[in-house]
Amino acid sequence: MPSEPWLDLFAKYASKTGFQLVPIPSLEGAPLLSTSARLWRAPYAQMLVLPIVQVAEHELRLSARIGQEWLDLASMAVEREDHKVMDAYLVLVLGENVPRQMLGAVRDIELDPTACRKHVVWPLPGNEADIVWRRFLRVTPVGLPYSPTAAGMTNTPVLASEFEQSLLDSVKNLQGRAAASLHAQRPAGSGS
Amino acid sequence: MIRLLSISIRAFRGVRDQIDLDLSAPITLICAANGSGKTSICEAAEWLLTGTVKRLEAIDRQKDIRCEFADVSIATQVSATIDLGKDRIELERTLNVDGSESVCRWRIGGDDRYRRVTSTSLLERLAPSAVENAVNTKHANSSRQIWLRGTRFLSGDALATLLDSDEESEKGRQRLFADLLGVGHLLETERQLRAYQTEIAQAVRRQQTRLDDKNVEIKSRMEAAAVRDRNRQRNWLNEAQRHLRLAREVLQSPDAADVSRTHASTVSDVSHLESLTNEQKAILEQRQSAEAQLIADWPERDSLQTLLASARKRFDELAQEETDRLEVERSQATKIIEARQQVNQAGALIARFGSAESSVVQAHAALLNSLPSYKQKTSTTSLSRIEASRLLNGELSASGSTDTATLRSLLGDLPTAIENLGVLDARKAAYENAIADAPSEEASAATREALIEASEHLASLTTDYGRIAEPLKQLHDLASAVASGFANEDCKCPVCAHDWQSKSGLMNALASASARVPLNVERLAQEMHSAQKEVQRLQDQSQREMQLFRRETAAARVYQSAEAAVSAFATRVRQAGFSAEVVKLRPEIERELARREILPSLMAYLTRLLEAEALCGQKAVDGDAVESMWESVKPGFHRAKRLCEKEFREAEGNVAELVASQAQSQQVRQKLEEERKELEQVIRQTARRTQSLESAWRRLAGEIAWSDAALANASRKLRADVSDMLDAERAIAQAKNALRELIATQELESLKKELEPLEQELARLTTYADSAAAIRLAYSAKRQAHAKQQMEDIVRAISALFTRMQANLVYDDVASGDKDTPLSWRAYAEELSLDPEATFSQGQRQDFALSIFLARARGLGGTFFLDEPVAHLDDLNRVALLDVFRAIAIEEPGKLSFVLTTANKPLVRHFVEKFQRVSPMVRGRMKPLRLVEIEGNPRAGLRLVVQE
Repeated sequence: MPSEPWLDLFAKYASKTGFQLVPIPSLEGAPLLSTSARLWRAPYAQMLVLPIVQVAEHELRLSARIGQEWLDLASMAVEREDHKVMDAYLVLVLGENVPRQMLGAVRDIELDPTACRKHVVWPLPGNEADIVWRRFLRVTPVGLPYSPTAAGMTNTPVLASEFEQSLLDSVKNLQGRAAASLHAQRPAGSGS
Repeated sequence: MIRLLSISIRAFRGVRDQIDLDLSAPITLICAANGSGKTSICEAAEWLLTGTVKRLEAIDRQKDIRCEFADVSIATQVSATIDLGKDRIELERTLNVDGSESVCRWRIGGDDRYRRVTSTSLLERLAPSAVENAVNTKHANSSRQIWLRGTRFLSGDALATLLDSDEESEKGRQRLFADLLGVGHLLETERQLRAYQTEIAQAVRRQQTRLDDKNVEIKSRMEAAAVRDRNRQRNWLNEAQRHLRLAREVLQSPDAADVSRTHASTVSDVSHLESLTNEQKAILEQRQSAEAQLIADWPERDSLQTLLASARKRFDELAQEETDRLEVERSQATKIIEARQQVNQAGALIARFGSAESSVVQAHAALLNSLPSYKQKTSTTSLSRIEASRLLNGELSASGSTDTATLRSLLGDLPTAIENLGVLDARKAAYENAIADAPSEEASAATREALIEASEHLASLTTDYGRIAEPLKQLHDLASAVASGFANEDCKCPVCAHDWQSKSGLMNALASASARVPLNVERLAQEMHSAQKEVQRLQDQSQREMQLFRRETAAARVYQSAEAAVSAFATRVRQAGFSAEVVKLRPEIERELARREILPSLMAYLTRLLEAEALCGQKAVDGDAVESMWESVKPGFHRAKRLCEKEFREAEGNVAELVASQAQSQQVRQKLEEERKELEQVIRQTARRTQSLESAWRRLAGEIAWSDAALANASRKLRADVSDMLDAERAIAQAKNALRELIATQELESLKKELEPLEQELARLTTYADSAAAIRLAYSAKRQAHAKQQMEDIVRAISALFTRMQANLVYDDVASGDKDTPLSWRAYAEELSLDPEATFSQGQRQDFALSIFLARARGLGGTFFLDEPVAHLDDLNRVALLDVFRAIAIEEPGKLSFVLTTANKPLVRHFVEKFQRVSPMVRGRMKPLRLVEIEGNPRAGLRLVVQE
């Protein structure tokens, strides 16, 4: 399978949370997966990614059913060993933008909690891969985009004059209205 | 970075006894029922780091920091081990037991003891800032507190402010998002500056209005002065003084020669001269009024005086005549009263005559009605006055004191009494015969005793016979039966066991006994029969004697009864005063009753007759029969009556004449009175006119005698004075005008001088307002720049977080938006770009806030407290958030830790499931999730159950 831009992006964010790309095991009784399918696995979850070549609703629903059944069997196989819950995620990747009439089917699939959490991903307008494939970032167990490190609190602005600093002190000392009342009452010529 | 590795809390809010919590795990999930101290743990961390609890600050209840159930000897204390990246510090904050003093201490790195630390030092360490050190410490601390709280703590309460849409919630929402973006302290300063600007702007407007008003007034005055002055500049003071001098001369003021030198003395002069003018003007007006009055009546002044004198003379005459007439009327009134008394007396006498005649006629008729019966019953042929008097006096009565009812009773009982008297002798004889037939007492007693004895003897015999006869008969029967049944050898008596030696002996004895029994019984029966006969005889005899006694008793009763009745009647007769025998008593009683019957009519007749005799003064002859006495008196009575009637009519005529005379006199007097009143009116009017004339003359001309020449002089003098007065008034008015101009000129100068301080004050206030605007602008710019930078830095992280919590796929993306909006975010759904403020649902706003908090937390690092952060999420999105927490915990282990609280047990279970396969973290091989369950309550104390 040729390397896809989304594949690299997905690998980047999935690996941040401990997922590793693993060969797809054969499971007895499980439906056959296409060769373009990929499986990422972490100690606590596994994530099956199924690219869909034809952007059509029936293809989408069929892939969702196949992926759901496969993940169900795969998760049960793991859970049988230590009786701990193994999370499962199905990611259906469409090659192009989804037409409006398919959005209902997308929503049905994503809201269906049977066996695993499901996500449908397709490219959106943009230049960078992060932008084009930002729907990948909706996949809940993968890592998040970078948040810049903040060293301390946001500085207050440096004021232009001592008068302004003094005025600000008055406002903060007395609260706004009270400070204004005081300044308004001060007789002329007595300074600030 | 501020990473709390552990925290200890005691006597704080809902935590009574000390609890120690290890917060080193990436996720510390605190689970407890509501009201069990979850929020207190978050607030303890807030208090430790910032020195306040915002939730209590809002309601001004910082004193509620202390746990009310804590032991009074234990101070409130929160302490923590904090990793600040470069340093590790042990920090503790203590509040004494009465809540009055809070002390914060720390131990840095390897220090062996705690040292007191100020809020400033602590906050500088926890919230480092390059600029804050240069500003007011108090304000820098406040900013740091806001920043710390906003970036480290997110509560369900704060998220709840996103649910409402009112204006206050709108502000709260802005504050929350500002806090989340780390610019809450800037927004708070802006808020205060906005309030300041609003208030100071009003002051500026007020000052500007004052200044404008003053300018308008000056302009107006200058324009008015220009018009009046007609481009001529005068010395208004000199002009005023010149006019005043003229006025003084006219008014002949004693200080006419004085000249005012100053403005004040000139004003005083004006006032003085105005007063003087007013006084003189009043006098002039009086003189003018007097002149006008005089001119009207001047030609008639002599005739008025003549008329007044003659009218007064006539008035006095009329008054005297009226008095005389009144005296005559009084005398007539007395006579009328006396004449009316005579009429009344005569009338009363006539009435008495009428009444007396009517009474005597009526009594006479009644007497004539009853007299024949009396005469018949008393066998009287005639009743004279003397006899009548005696009769009335009771001299002819045999039973004067006995009442008539008794007499009638006696008369009624008289036949019975006569009958009783007639049978009394026969009853007496019957009684005496009964006495003679009755046995003596002794004989009767002997019979009764003999009967008793015989009865007792018979009873005794009967008893004996009854006791003996039946047993003897039984014995006889038994002996016969025994004898026939005995055996040969028996020789003993079966009754008494007497041994008769042989059976024959026994049988003989039995036969002998049987033979004697009938003889004894028969003898006893004969004795009893004789006794019965004797008793019967004695009983008959006693019965006969009793009948004789009863007959004697009855005869005695009849006789005694008749005797008693006769005796009683005789007693009643005697008591009634009669002495005649019973058989002759009837006529006596009937005469007495006849006398009594005639007494009332006789009494009435004689009484009325006496009255009639007294009235007419004539008396009947005593020897005449009473029934004819009225006839003998009647002619004289009628004569006297007619005479009386004549006197009555004469008296009435006299009264009528007197009344008519009096009425005539009153009419004359009324005419006199009317004439006098008319004259009085004339006198009053004439006198008033005369007095008015005289008064007016005195006001105009004084005390000189009036004449036509004098009047002409006075009028000329008055007109001259009036002319002078007008001159003086004009001069004063001109002086006042000059003074007004002077004052206006001075006031204008004064107003011009007042402008300067007003302008200075306006400038001062404007400086404040402009400076406040500049400061606010600087803060706003800083806030927006920082927010924008934040957005640019973390928008992708926020977008990823937000969309993961939006399973329903409404929004595809979130990105930075309009820089002027408070949030500066845009949400994208397909090709639509939406304003979150306008389009986000309440739940989405909370998701969005949570996304910002988490995105910033990833950048800041350290420990973050989320109190009930997922209550608003639906099931699917809540699971997504758990995935997010797991992802954040895994992707950068050791950098971030979250303290989450919840009361939701299923959520806890879900958390555990999500984390049970996650490998231990690198630092100390710690588990990624530490579950702390709190049991108990603030009153009873808390207990922590920790699971890893």
